[in-house]
Amino acid sequence: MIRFVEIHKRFGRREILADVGLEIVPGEFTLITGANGSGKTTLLRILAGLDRPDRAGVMLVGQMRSWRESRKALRRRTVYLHQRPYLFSGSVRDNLRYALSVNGVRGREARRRLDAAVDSFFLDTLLARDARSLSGGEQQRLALARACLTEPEVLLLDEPTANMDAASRAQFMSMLVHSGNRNQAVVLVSHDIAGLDLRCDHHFDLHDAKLREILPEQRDRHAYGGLKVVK
Amino acid sequence: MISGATAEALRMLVTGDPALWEIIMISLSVSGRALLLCVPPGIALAFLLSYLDFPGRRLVVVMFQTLMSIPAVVVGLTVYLMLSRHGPFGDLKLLFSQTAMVVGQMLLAFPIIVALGYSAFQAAGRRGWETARTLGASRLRAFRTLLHEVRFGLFVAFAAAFGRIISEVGVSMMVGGNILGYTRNIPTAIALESSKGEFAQGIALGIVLILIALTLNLSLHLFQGREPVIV
Repeated sequence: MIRFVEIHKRFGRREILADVGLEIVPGEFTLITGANGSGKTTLLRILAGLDRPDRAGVMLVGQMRSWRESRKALRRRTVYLHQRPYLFSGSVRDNLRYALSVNGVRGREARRRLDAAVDSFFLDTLLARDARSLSGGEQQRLALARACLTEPEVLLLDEPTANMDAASRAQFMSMLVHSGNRNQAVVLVSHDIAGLDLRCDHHFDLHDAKLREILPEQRDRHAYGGLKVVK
Repeated sequence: MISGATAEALRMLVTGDPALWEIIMISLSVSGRALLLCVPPGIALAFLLSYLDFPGRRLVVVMFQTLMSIPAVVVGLTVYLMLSRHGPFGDLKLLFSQTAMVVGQMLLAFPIIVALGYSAFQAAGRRGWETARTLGASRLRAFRTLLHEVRFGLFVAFAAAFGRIISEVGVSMMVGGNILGYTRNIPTAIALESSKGEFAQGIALGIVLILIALTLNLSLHLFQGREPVIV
């Protein structure tokens, strides 16, 4: 479990995150919603160890440390997926192999993981294709498969379904839920909750720099960013 | 006169005129050394300017972009003053040597490699670096990955830098002294022979310069592979 406490972040005078706390529990799916510009990406990047908060505490293996001291461990334990995934030049296979290679996974284990990812994410017909020639949805699928190959403890997804239609979104979520190992935690941020909150264990809303949990019974009435969510 | 000189130039090239080839080899040796010495620090600085945020970063970038177009004769004058007997490095007795020419050409090539290298790294954006790191690549591995990602842009930078220094006259003439068999290179030889009314060698060396430019551009195209047609 990773526990973040008192995350503070300002951009100039604007307060983005004020005393935000979050617990990432193995095997749980956390959804964070919020309007555009509410600070979701900033929060996710802080969780990934990519962006520096003004102040934050992180509890890892039962010890509370500053974010700075925990940065390396956060980077080791998490994989962050950009909203627009970056795919390396080369084929789909090259991209998948890269994730294995940088983690020192070789031989039979590499083949096992690669085969499993290709099956789970329906990439068998795309393996030889140039990764950058794929459609937006296919690129997201490849980026997710590549991330899952590293078997991270926490998968941090930044608006992965933002440009998908309802069918692609449902397929993506199904792959996400069924592909990761049982202990893998997922934190997903999105400005649009359609089809996402039904699958999550925890749903938080980021509004006015504060993170507020939306309980299951509140979800139908949940409103954020001045917009009532209609499901 | 032109046709006669051209025919003589072609004869010199085909028969392998020793004096001509000595000049060509001096040019390639001096400019090649200058480029090789500039490449590692140039790439490193371009990378740091792209990915390290520090006060004055933009100013440094603008400075290198400006230095790209500094007249060679100004660089020649500066190096001359530095290496002349009363200059700060006069004791090194480097004036009118190939080393002085290498130093001068490095000053011309370095800003080009930094400025164009910076543009190449910018094109990959921050996401390339972050993706490699978040997938588990060490800093060194992520840097190698990024070099591979921006290889075409970097090759353009090297080709542009080499193209500039192989054909410059100002530095070579001022700090090399145009000594036959030692510091006389292609551009200084062309200038000298033309002033004497001996055009054959000048034309032959001009053809060599054009062939070098053609080789650089052809290799760039081969390196990039087949480009898609923009419709």
